[in-house]
Amino acid sequence: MSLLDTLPAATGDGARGSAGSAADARDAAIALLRSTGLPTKKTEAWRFTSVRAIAERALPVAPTSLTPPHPDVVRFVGGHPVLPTAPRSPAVSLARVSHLGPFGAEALDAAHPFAALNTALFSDALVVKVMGVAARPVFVDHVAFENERADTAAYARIRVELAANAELVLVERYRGASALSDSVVEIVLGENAKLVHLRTHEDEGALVGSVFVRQARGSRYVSHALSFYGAPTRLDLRVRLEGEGAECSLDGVALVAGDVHSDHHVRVDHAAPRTTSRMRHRAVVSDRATSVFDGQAHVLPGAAGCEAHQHSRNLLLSDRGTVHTKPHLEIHVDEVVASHGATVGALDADALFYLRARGISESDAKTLLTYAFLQELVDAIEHPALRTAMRDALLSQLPGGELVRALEDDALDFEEDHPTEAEDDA
Amino acid sequence: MLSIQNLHVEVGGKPILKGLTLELKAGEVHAIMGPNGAGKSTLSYVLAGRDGYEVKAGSITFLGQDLLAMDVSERAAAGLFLGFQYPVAIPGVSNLHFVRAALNAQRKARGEAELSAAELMKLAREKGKLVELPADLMKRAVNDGFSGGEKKRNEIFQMAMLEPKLAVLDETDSGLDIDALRVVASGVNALRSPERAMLVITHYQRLLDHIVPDRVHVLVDGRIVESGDKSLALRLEDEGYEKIRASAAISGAAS
Repeated sequence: MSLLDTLPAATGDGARGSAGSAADARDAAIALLRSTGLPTKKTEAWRFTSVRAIAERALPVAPTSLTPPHPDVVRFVGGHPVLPTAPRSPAVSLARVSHLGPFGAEALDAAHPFAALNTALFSDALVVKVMGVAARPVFVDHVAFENERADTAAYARIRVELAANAELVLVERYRGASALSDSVVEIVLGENAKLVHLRTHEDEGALVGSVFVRQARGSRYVSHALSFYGAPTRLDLRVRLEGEGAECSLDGVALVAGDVHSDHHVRVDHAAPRTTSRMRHRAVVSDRATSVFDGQAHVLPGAAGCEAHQHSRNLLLSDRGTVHTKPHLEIHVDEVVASHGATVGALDADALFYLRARGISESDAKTLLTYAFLQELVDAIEHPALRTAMRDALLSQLPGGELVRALEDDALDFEEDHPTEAEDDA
Repeated sequence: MLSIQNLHVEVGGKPILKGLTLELKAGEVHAIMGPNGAGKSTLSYVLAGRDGYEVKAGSITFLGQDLLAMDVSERAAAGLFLGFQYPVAIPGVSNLHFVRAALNAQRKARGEAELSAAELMKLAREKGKLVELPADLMKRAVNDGFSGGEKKRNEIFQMAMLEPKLAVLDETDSGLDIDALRVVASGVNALRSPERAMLVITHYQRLLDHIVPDRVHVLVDGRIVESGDKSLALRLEDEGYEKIRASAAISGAAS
């Protein structure tokens, strides 16, 4: 038995249809999978992340369900989109389409086996088009099909297009418990467009997500990806900076315990001059959990004046946990500003003692220091409500996390009654 | 308040304190002076309960309790404060959150109600003035990017907030210029009270010009070899530690 047994025979439509049709894309994906198969631990990009348990099961595609729509949130139920009912910002259109037309090329270009599997098997896709500045975020919730969640696979497909100067915040949560969630998000940013993309991976099944981003001149892509659960969770984030001055900022957090296995593979191609990429990854690993980070930046010939930074910091809280981290740069031009680095360590014993010597219990001191390790990436989230939501999501996974929330939530009316002002009055 | 009897401590199998005895009463300020390697910092860490300091013999009684049986945070809640020689920077934890967590943890351990945000801010503003700690330092991450003087002021600010019964100040003067020393010392002096004892550990006499001790003890090679009033500190400054070390060696050999 194999997951590939669930592939349909090639449609054959490609021969009749025009080049670049949806049928072409599906046929190409099926052909790719038939020739390469699913990755094993011998596949370089999957050395540390086994998908064998999933690959050996012929998980059927989750059936469509009659889930009622949510007013504000796009729901993917078993991988099938259900559009919200409430009116939306005039700048944003949401559509459910049963094919992606000529699209899907990004996923195939990358020859990513699970992206190809998604292309072959997804039913309906969500297409988000943004023509101006969206006043409110678009929320997308990936949940499991209620009754058969344990034995099905969900293939969610999303395409996001931002016109020139458009802006959007996209918030995705993966919190179903399908045996397999294999999602693909394709993002195309027009000139000077800006997308802020938050993702949380809270699915206890196998979660394989791919995000493909193409950026035109002057555009910005800001990603915050958090992984808590997953057996395994694998994120492939690939960004192509195609227009001059395009920038991306890619932050990832893995806060993993138990047997959870998180793998973030991030790759940026600098294909135009004066483009900038910043990658930051932080992992906190407890128990027998594993965090993998592979960050690549490729500065392609002709892309002069680029900036590429990759930093991975890992906090290992257990001697049975595992961290694999590999930031790397490939530079084909002379004039580049680049930095990369990786650290793996335990909690700082001096800091722990300092907190305890002030009366803070050992467990609370560990919580404070662990959260402090992640805090910088939470603070980087521009939108206050989302920042708070992200913080709370992290704290809910951290033993004793309510301490940090209690400290932060009502303390600081400092600004209104400033001591230096008080001194001035005196 | 504090009674240390015949304390023997090893670090990494090496004897550092070799029979130290010391009595400190409420309201008193004692100074411990000594050359490098005499065991000054070891004494402060043993009092605070740091791992890696192995008590081989002797006892420490603090307010009638066996201090050595208590956990690090329990000692703090019981009223023991250690002012660090090298305060630790903690990026990501704001100074105010840290003090709030510490104060509330201590109050909780003593069965007292936690302070509200407003009460805490009022207290922080009041105590911040004692050591001229600017508002932005209170909001910044603990000691992160602080100068040497700012770190030491922050230690005394924390002490003022936590209102300990016994403050052990480990080389609080190290790394301070004369102006910072004056600010820190005046903060400490403001906290002297009949209910509070202080143990001021220092290498140099100059701190004791500002914080005038009731008693001065000289620690050499893990034991207190001489005790006296504040004039002992001045004598040490004149003569250096060599002379007292030599006479200690003689008396040690004779006994």
